[in-house]
Amino acid sequence: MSALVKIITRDFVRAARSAGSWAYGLVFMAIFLSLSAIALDGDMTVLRQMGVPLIWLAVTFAALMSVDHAFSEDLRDGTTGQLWLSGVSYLSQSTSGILSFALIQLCPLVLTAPLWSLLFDLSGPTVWGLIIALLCALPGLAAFTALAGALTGPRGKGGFLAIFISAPMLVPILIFGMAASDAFLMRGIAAVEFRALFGLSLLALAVSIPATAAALAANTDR
Amino acid sequence: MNILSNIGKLISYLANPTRFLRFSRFATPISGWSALVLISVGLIISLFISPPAVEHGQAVRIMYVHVPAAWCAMAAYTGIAIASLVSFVWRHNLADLVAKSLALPGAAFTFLALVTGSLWGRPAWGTWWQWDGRMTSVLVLLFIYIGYMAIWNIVSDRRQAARLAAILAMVGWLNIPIIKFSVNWWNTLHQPATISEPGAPGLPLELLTPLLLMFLGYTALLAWFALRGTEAELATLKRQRKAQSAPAKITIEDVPS
Repeated sequence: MSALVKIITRDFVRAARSAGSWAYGLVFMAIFLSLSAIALDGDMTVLRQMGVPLIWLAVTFAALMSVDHAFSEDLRDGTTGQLWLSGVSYLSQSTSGILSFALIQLCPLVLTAPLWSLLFDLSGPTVWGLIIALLCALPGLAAFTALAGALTGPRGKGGFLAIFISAPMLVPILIFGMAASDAFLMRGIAAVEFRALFGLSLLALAVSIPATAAALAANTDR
Repeated sequence: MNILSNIGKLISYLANPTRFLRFSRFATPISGWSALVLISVGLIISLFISPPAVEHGQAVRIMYVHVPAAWCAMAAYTGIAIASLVSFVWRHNLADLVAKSLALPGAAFTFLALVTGSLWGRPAWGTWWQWDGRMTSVLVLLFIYIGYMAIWNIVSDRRQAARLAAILAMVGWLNIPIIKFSVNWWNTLHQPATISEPGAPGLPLELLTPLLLMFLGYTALLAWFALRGTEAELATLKRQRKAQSAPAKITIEDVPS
């Protein structure tokens, strides 16, 4: 437990010292959403319909683009192996990596959703549905992205490979995420789609933690 | 139980490259030639002899290419997942090579299934593409293949690549039911299974014969791809090893005076 907390604290400190590179995902999201709105000709009736799916896509792609922050730095400079030698198992390294990736990279993306929804003139309940659905999807999104990061390891090329690898796993999350965002308007938080989405997220977490640990082990010993 | 233990014995017997090559020396030509014969006969029957179907007309002939391709697409991925498990858990020597050589044919069969399905969809449903459950999940299967091949592509060390690719294949395999469920729940248009389910309408014999021939032919072709690919990988490894273990040669050239 203490190793877990220490690694997460270290990740926060490192993010604070990284001269803002933790925020690249946010910048990507801002650019992606503005360009989408411009490509859609700024037509508010269209934008209002496209807002929720576009923000979902932006969050997903921003997460994949920032996958290099998950494990590749540690694998590149040998920290993963050093931690393992000093008795921190791969399992706790993968758990703490996924947690800090979710907290540092993904939470800002989700929590700024109200700001982005201004670009698309979304109504209040729509924004609430969007945020709650994104929060439900957050563990799954973090788990699959981090797994892709651990698999590509030190060879990550700006998240391109992560997109190839995790695209199939993200399909169910996108499907249920969109469904949950829509269902909120009619049935609120009690809608069954939210439970399905959160269940999916937890399943993703359960599969990804050991798989990420195995990938870290495979990437460390040669 | 007896069958299982025999399969286990066969798998561990084939872990030795020399024994595998002894096995593949006759298994490869058998599967290759039977694929050629079965597919040729199946093509002749399906294109010229079998009658057009009542509902679909001549377009039914696409089925003889489409259905076996879709079957092989799934069979190849199941093969990859099983070989990955065997390679990851028991560090089997050759299972990773089998998995690797199944990936490209599997992706090609998936692509073929998608293209022929699209060609069939036009006359049958009046649309080239529809985001329905089965089509989407086959498309996702193609993405899974691409990700799997990407891992083999970027990792240069063979053992490391094998382990990473095996992890991805196993996670992908666990995800297949979830993807299938989510996509089906999302939207469904594709016709339900015709042959395999009890009580399903079934096919008349003159349509079933060419389909079964193509089915067996495609499966033999897939087996040929797996065996031949593994042989090729083994040959490459052997050549690399030979280059590494060769004695160092130094040529002393004449020193210009």
